[in-house]
Parts: sequence; structure tokens; C-alpha cells
Amino acid sequence: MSKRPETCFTCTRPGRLILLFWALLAPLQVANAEDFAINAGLSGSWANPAIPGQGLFVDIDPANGVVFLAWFTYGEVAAQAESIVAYPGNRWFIALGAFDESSTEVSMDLIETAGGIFDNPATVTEQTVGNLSLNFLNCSAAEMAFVFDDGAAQGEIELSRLTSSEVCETLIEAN
Amino acid sequence: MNSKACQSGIAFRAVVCAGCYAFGLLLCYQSAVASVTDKTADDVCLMLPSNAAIEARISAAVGALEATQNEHYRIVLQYNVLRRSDGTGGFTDLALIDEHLRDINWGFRDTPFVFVRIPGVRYIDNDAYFALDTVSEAEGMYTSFHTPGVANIYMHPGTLFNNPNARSYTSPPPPRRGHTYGDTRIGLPANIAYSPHELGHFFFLLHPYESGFAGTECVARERCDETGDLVCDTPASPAIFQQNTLRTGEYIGNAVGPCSGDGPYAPLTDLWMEAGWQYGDPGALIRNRFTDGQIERMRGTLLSLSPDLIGEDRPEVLVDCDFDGLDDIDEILEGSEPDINQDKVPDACQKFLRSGDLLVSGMTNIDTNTPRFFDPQTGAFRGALRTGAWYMHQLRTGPDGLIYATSVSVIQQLDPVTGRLVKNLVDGGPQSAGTFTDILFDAAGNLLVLDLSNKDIKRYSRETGEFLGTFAQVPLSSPKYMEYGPDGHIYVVGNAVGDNRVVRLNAQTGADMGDLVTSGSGGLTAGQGLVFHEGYLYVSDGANASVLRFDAMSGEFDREFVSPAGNGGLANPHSLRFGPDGRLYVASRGSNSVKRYDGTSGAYINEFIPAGSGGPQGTGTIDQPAGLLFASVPFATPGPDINPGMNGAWTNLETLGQGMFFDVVASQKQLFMGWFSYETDMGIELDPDENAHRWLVAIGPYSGDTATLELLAVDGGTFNGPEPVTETAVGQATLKFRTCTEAVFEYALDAGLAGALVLNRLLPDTLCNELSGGVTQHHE
Repeated sequence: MSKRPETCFTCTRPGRLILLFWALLAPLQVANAEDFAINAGLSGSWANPAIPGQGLFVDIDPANGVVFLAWFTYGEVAAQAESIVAYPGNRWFIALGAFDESSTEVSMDLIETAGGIFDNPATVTEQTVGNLSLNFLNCSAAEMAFVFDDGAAQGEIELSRLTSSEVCETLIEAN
Repeated sequence: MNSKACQSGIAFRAVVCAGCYAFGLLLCYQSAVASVTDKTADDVCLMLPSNAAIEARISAAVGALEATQNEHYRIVLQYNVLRRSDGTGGFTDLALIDEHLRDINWGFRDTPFVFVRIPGVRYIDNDAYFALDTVSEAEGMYTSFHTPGVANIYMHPGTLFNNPNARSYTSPPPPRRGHTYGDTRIGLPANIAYSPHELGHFFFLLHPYESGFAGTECVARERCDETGDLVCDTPASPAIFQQNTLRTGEYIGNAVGPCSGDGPYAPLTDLWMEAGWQYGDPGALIRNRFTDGQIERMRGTLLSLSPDLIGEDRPEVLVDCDFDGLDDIDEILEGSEPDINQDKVPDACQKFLRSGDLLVSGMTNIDTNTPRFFDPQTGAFRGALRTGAWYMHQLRTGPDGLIYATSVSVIQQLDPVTGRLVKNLVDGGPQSAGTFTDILFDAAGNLLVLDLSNKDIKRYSRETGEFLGTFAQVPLSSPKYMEYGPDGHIYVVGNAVGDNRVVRLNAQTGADMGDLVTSGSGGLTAGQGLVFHEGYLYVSDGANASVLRFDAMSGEFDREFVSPAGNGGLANPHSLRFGPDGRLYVASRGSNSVKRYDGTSGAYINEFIPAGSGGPQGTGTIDQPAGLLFASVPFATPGPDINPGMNGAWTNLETLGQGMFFDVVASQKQLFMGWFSYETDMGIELDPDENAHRWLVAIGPYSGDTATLELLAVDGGTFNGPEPVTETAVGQATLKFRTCTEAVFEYALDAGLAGALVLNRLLPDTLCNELSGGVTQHHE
């Protein structure tokens, strides 16, 4: 596994993409915290504006109490790395976990895959490399904590919903 | 009672047929099929004869159909494979069973019947059943393995009852209910009509030309419900075969009916229950439907004889190809999932043709000949079109989006969405056509068809197939392929010794405009395929196994683009096409493969589709490839409006371990997505020690069910770090949602990678259906 640098919470200079999505954000209407519960409206993209060009995509299945996410980030670039598809420093992880309806927090296995080939049915291997917990504060804010088993990295990240939280708010109000 | 009595037209009558039973059924069967074997000398199907008591039950059930008009009948099939007692022998290509199931659902697509199968097969290891010498053995087997609620299908590896033509035996009534195929060709593309035909027998349909069970039907048809096939909307038939029907289905026979006052027959030639042509001939594929009367009779048979097949004994079989936890057939019938193939078969289970797939047609007459399609990036076999025909020299996409294929003197019209034959559009027989080798479309959209044998180009209506006259005489002794040039005129290449030229024909008049490439220029010895690309004309030379390049305007020889010494084993090259990646693909007929070359230098890259490709689905392998086509597949039906309920994870079931997440910004009508994947192995040697992770994001506007996206690579970041990133546009993509759980993602990267992915929702849908108001809702 690639060595991962320490986390950073003081980052600035967001990239064009992030700026664009901040511009797209609808006015946030934060639901009363005590009414809040994990719901399907939380599915979508989440990021910290101080950590540009990376973040989470989240998918929530409330009927089965399942959260699945992908964490788009970066790692070390091998000296001879070639690339056609995208930046060779790209890294991503996936995480899968279960939650119960009384909780706003979910603990997940953090999984790294390898062996894949772009748009190719090559067999992919999966390895659990750590733990990721996600605590939804409301429809537009969450806290993420991660720790890698090999000790390479751990940290906490404050996340904001990158796009509209309207569906989530509506579901909260409906309940 | 003897066979003659059974054949005389009164066997159906109760008293007489009772004698048939008493005397031994086989005589009836043999007499019943005798008229068929005499006419086609091929593929005889045998079935238990009906009788008055059975007919009374069927009639009563048909009479009561009004109240059940909207029912769907899900029939559960158990496939049984007959083997020797020691477990050897038997039908081995189990992938063909799935193809068979799809073929019968296709055949029954306009009926209430839907067929599903119990997963796997049941092996019956029994020497007697494996030999299956007699009908009584078959019926004993049927009785032994009869299961209420299940229709047993028995797969036998050869013909039945020591009759070299007997390919099936059907007995509808329980408990001796069963259906045996004595044919290893089940599920093959050339044999599609056979499968629904035989299942028709399972529901007591008879041949429209049948005389053995109930007597010969008169053309005048006063007793249509008592004679022939006992169905009144199927006219009397002399049996359809090659001597009385064109390959388009047009009846050209002049036989007169058997009854006093009868005129000539006027049969329906497109019925599944008609007789068949010679196996492999495209004429064998003109059968395509059941009549309303036949559907009623099948329903009556089911409800009167085998109600258990739809009763409480029927086992539950969940069909969930898209893994959403819901039964796909229920979803199709309820309209929450589109029936792309219109056959009530779960579509995600099938590998449909995708835009960009490379279609390859072959020049053989083997059982498995059909266009096959391959992944445009890897060359991996993906599937085969469900149309068997022989000697398919060329494939073209028409202005209507359909695929047109040559098959000797026939032009087939194929649907790229369903992957199935629409119809044989043209039969050049009346024009004494010889061998069609290529197709173009004129300004009005009509077909221009190159006839190698007659050295001309014929024009046919694309709508009707009607012959519109000879468009041009081709001044070549052996014209092989043709193309439109950059000047809009038509160029034809010849491959006869001493006449190896490329001639130019006026696209409006067909007049000869002289040679573009003179005979033998650049060493051209046996011209085959040709293609214009970026100012050059490329011609494949079958004799020298090379590709020559000429100036597209002057015709002057430029260079040997692919030389014999560097051709990578190219042999008798035919069609050649430049792919979306800019590389040159050549059908290597002599090596049963498709070769790929650098589009700029002509250097050999690899055997893109190796010899022997195409087997996993039991459809054989490519053989003598000649025609190439990069497919263009239109979308069949509009999907749901894009909405935030689609937010979440999606994946392609063929490339698990990578996928996409969507995030819909409804207020801006924008879709944002992340694509987590890996590096390509095309032109790169991947480091096995690296995980080769790559990801792209994309954003773009959407309208209705489709988003148009710009793909962005993001560079410069560090793990969880503050470093600024740069975004680079690297390609384009479109995302079209077929349903709330299925979408098609088509992409083209500037680096030359392109493809289409069918995506399925990874977790069950929670909000999309609700927000879209159901799949049928569409914004426009």
C-alpha cells in the first residue's frame, strides 16, 4: 500500500470544481438536530472545502440500513508510473457499513482494491485496510474519522454536502 | 386401423382415434409427419395426437377465455439432460439452454406466456432414455419425471426413435407431459424458429399444413375448426418450403387446394408453426409469430390440460438479473423496468450490442454462423446476434439505425437494440441475383447492393424491399466492396487477375467515371476491402496479405501501409475499418481473426480478435470473417427523468470492482459524478505492484433521461492534503437512464479510449421511482 501523508485541516485554494459546486449550493436549511435521522437524501457528494479536489460519494439504503461510499483522494506516484486514463496519483477507497435507525453514525470497513483494469472485467481483489466512521450531524454536515490498520494515516475531517440537501430536508420534515 | 386411416383426415374423430391409441401411437405419429418429411426432408417434429375428449376440454377453456384476457402465464421449465447410465454423453453446451429460453420467450413475446427456468439442469443418466428408441420409452420417461407445476424439457443429443429426421417428441397432457429435443442445435442462431415452433406443440398447436391428425384443410375452409390445424385464422397451407416461397416470405407457389372448388393456397408464411426451409438458409428465419387463434388454443390447452403449470404447485423462481431484490419479470410486466427485447426476458441477463462494439460477420455456412460482437477495447467476445444465416459478407448501419447484412442473394435487416432479425428485406432471386457482397444507401435512403455475380449494383426500397431497378453496371470482372468517397461518389474495388482497380461511379446516375486506382497500381493484386480515411484510400489486398494506401483524390499510390512482412499473420484480408481509437482493424478471413494496426504508421499491433473467439455463449467461433462494423445502437425507449433519487453508486456487472457515483443538482439541472476505476492496459504495461487506481469526475447538464458530461482528470492533490489541484478536460460522455436502476454510460476519452457501459444501481432504489413518477413518465 502506498504511504499516506498526515492529514491536513488548514487547506485553502480550492480548485475550480469545488468552487463551482460551492456556487451551486442551495441555501442550507439545517433541520432540527433532534429530528434528524439517516435517510436516502444524504446520498451524494461530500467534501471539505479546505481539502480541494477530493471527497466522498455516499450511497444510503435506509431500508436495509446500509451505507456504501467511495473516497476519492490521492497517494504517492510511482517514479515510472504511466497514465492514459487519469492522474497516476489518484487513489480511492471504498467503505461499507451498517447503521440502525436510531443512530446518525455508521462505522465502516475501509477497503482498498487492486488488480483492476480500466473498463475491463479483470478480477479485482479487495483488502480491508482500516476503519472509517461517518457521523451525520444534519442534512448538510458530517464528521468523518478514519484510521488505517498499518498506522500510515489517521484523522478526522469535517464534511459538507457538496450539492443540495433539499431531498434530505424534505424527508426529515415528512417524518 | 392403420397409418393410412390416421392420415385420411378422420383420425381426429373420437371413435377412429381411439383405435389409433389402441393400435399404437407411433403409427399415427409417423403418418402425421409423413407429409412434412416428404416436402422438406428435414427436421420432423412428432407429437401425441389429440382426441375428441381433449379437444372438447380445450374448446371449453377457449370459450371461457374472456374473463382471463389480461393474465400472464409464467411457465416454469425444468431442463433435463439425458446421458448414458455411466454419466457420459449428452447435451454438453449448457450455455445454449439460456439461448433456447430467450428464443422461446422471443417467440412468445406477443402471447401471455412467459418462460423461466429452474436454475441448473437435471441429469438423467439412463441408457434406455439416452437411446430413446420408442415413443413408449419417451412417455415412460415423461411419466416417471412428471412434476406438477413444472414443464419438463428433455435435451437429447441426437435424433429420436431411430428416425434420422425426428428431432422432437411432444406430449402435452399430464402425467405423461414432456417435450424432448433430439437436436444438438438447440439455441444456435440459425435454429431460432425451431424453439418456439416446438413449444407451440407443447400447447397442442398443429402445423397449418397438417393433415395427419384431423384431415386436410380445404382452401375454402368451411370446416377450419375441424380440419388441418383446428385453428381458423391460419389459412390452409401446402407447407412452406424453398420451392414455393421467397426468402422474404412472399408465397410464390401455385398449388391448388385439395377440395372440390378449391383455388390456389394463400398461406401465412411467417407463422412459427409453418414448415422450415433448409437449415442455415436465411429463408429458415421467415417464421416469426403466432396468430390470435393459435394463442387462444395454447391458452385453452394450458387452462384445460395443465392448469398446474400456473397453480400453487408451480415453484417460485426468482429472476433477478439486476440484483435489486425484485423479480425482473414482474418488473417488466408492471412496467417498472423496460423490456428492451420485448420478450419478457430480464434484459440485464443478456449481453446486448453496445455502441462501439465491433461486429464481425463470417463467410461460412456452419451452424453457428452469425454476426458476433466484441468489446472495442479488449476484443473480448461479448455476444452474438440472434440471426443465423450463411455467407454474410458485409454489415452496414442504415439511416434508420438498423443493421443490414448480406447473405448470398438476401439482405437481412437486423435490430441492434434487440439483436434479432427484423426480416429478410430483399430476396434477389427474381432478379437472378448471385452473390451480394456490399451495401450502401442512396440519398433517398434506398439500398444500393453490389452483386458480385452480375457485376452490377441493384437498388431496392429500404421500406419494402421492392426492386427499384439496376442502379449501375460495374466495369469490373469481380467487384468485391464499395464505399462512398470524400467527393460523394461511389468507389468499387475489383479483385480479378488483371482487373485490380478501384473504379468511380456517379452517385446520382451510376455512370462510370473512370478509374481512381488503375489496375495493379502499387502492386495491387486482389483488391478486397476499401475504406477512406483522412485523405487516403486504403485497400486490402487478398493475394499479398497487405493494405495499400492511395491518395483519396488523385488515386496515386502512396505506400504499402501494411506490408506482407509486417502484417502479423494477415491472410486474405477483407473488410477494413478505422476504429474510434484511430487504429485500423482488418478482417483476416484466411486466419479467422481480426488484426489491428497503428492508424498512422500501419505497424502491426496485435491480433485484436484471435482465431477461436466467440465461444462462451455456445454460439461457435468466428469463421472466415469478412464484414466489420463498429456498432451504433439507438436507445429503444425513453427512461425516467433524471432526479436526485438516482444519487448513489452504480456499477457495470461485467466490470465489478469499479463503478460510478452520481449526484444530481436538480435546481441547476446538472449532474456531477465520480468514476472510480483503474489504468488501462491498452498501450501500457501495468505494474503489478501498483493498484493502478484512477478516477475521473464529470459534470454537465441534463435534460429528461440524459446527461451530457465533460470528463475531468484531477491532478496535483495529495492524500487529505491542502495542495491545489488542476482539472483537465479529458473527454466526453453521455449518461442515459433506462430506468431507476439501469443506465447506459457512453464515453470517449481524448486519449482514444471509448466504450459504453450498462450500469446498474448497486443498492436498491429508494427514491427515484417516487420522484420520477414511475418509469413511463418522461419530460417531453
